[in-house]
Amino acid sequence: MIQKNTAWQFLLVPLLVYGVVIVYPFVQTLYLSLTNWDGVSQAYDFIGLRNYRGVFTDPNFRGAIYHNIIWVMIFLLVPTVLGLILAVLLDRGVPGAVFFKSVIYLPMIFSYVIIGMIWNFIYEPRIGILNMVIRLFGNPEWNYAWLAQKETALLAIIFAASWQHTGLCMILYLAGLSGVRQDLIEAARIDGAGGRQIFFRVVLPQLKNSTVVVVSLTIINSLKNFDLVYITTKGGPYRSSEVLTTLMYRESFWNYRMGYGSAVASVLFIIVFIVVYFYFRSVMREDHRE
Amino acid sequence: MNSRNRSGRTAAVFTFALVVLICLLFFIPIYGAFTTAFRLNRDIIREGFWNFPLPPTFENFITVWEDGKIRLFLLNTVIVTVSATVLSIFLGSLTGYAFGKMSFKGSRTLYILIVAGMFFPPQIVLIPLFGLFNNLDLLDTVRSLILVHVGFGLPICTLMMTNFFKDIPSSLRQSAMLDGCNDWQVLFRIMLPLARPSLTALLILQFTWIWNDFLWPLILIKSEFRMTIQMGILQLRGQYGLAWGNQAAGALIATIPTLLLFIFMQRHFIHGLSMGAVKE
Repeated sequence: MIQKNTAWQFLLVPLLVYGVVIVYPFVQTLYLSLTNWDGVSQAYDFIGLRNYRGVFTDPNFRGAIYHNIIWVMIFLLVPTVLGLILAVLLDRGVPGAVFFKSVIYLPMIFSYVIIGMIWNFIYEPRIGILNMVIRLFGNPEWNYAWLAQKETALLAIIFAASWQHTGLCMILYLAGLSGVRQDLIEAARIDGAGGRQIFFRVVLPQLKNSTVVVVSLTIINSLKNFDLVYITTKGGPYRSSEVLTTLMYRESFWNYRMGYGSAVASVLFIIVFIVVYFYFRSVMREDHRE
Repeated sequence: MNSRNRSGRTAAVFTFALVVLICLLFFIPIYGAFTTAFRLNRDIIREGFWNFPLPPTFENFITVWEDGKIRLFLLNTVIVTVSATVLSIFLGSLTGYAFGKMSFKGSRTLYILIVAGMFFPPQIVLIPLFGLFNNLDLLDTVRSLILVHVGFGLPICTLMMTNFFKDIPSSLRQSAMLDGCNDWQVLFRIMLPLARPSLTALLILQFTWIWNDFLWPLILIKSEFRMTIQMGILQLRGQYGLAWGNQAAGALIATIPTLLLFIFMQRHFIHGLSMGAVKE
């Protein structure tokens, strides 16, 4: 059949928007990271890699990277494993499974502003629920400020974020479990395999694809998070909960070091790019095999 | 056989108890915030965030609502969310149709370039977009917010619509074209009406994300009367300081739209999330 190729008519406007909002600004970020722009002046100098040298010798940057690594590790442990366990339990037809799933999903619809507030009701030193429980079962004088102490601020934030992230992990694992072959499980059971063996040897290997997705999304989400930190601690106290995104925001919009902030943003991009690259590669390889 | 049966039952009871326990722990934070909205501040300060509000008071809601600002915040958010949601899904249908049903050179590369945007941290383009809108005199406008959300929504909309159009048999398009339809007519008259499930899932996802967004208004909006609800809630938190009840009431009001979507369309919400992430 002869048909005129009209694809460009469909792509023109979307690509224009995408170019204006994402592609062009992204190239500009890379460029600005080589300058000393302050965000206000029209003039600025090209200073080569000096921002990057500054970034890598900045203790605040190293702190932020370190906090991001902690975040990723806890995120890979707590919500991911919890999501997997819940998915396996609820997939087995526990009575009321639909209701229980909804409870775990529910935090996903809250904004980080609301989550910050909700968890403030938990962490509040005097009347927060956490300290009330500790006072009830232990020290009656206990009024620790979880978000205001540099030892616990970061952990308290990550915990609140984990609470929200578990639902997504569970959804992805439930989707994976629906594709697990029941006949293999039956066969293993007939061969006398126990529940634990079946899970680790039969079910888990079949969830490999889901795991790739969960792990990638978990890493990216933990690197992306800005809102919750900004809302609860703004990176404090004493930068103890500073992450790459808040560092970038602070340097750019508070200290007017847009060039430096762009360098931090570029580093963030490189890290995310590596994760996304591996993600796409493994997803596509699976596609190819089918 | 009997003992095995019994151990199976014990395991089932144990599983059930474990699920109940985890779900209870998950629900505690929501319970605390929810009940706080219906209690008087003096009671909260005296008893903490724990007691059930008996009888519940609606005073917090009245205070927050009468103040008037929250109504403006809500209106702004509705304008941004509805227009950006509709526009991004519309543009995503166009790209989805092009990638899913037409073949052209560079289609695969372009598709990956757009879909990869799903993972793109918005913070990376914060500075240039701030500068761009500053130069265009669009800082502190609702239009700038809409544009940004359409751009960032395009990847997921493209992904889901492409997957949808790929699954529709090409013979449908060909026979419509033999009847004299062009591609635009095929898309709008024949294909989009079939796309209801994908469109609904996207509608919910996009609405929730844009409604909940905090970063872009923080960067782009300066005037109080143009703020969206998430910024507004933070503002109210500052204004009401230790007025926990008012804070919680404001937060609950801000959550009602997404909560309603979740309650009535949970299936589509879940479908959208798992589709968006699992399918390449």
